Amino acid sequence: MNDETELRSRQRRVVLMVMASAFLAWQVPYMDAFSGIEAAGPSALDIVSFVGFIAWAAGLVWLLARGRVLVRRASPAVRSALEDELVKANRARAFNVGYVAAVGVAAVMFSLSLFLPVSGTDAAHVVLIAGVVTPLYAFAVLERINA
Amino acid sequence: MPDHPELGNALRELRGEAGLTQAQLAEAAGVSRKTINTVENGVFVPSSILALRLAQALGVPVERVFWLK
Repeated sequence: MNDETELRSRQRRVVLMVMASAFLAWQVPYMDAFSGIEAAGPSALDIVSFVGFIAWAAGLVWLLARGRVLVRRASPAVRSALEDELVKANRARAFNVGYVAAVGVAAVMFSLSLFLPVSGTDAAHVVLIAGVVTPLYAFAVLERINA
Repeated sequence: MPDHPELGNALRELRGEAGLTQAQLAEAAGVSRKTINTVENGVFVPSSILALRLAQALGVPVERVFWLK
């Protein structure tokens, strides 16, 4: 049971890290700050963003498929161990980290806007990215600690 | 770093006395091996339900497993 639990737990960590990186690669090139970069065809940023989008979508599909496989195939003991109270505590901590990161980034963007021209779209975009990416990385790191 | 410095536990010693590995105790308590490891190291404070389940799996009263320092 524990080998299967640890394998699935490790897979979840890796997928979340990949998804966080994919979300960054997908969203950062869309920011207004990059809009001045012109290219005849698809630019390197477009390609990075597209690859990020594909990886993000693949990660979502993998998570959904894995959830179905878990429900059908894994024993109740494995399912229980994969969602035990340490996992729930780590998830809650990761959300806390995400909240602090989003508020911190919002404060930084507000401070920057006092001295530099920062578009509202970019500010909202950065807060959104921090709010999505930070909890994913935080959960993966917390799950890695003492693994 | 301990999650709660006031909480002491003898989980590792009692598990050793019972001849169980972390994986075996985890299976008996319905949690992952990592959870047992973090509880033994004082990194994670279990709920009262899990504390009782661990004590039950080890066949000892819960106050032998956990106590306030």
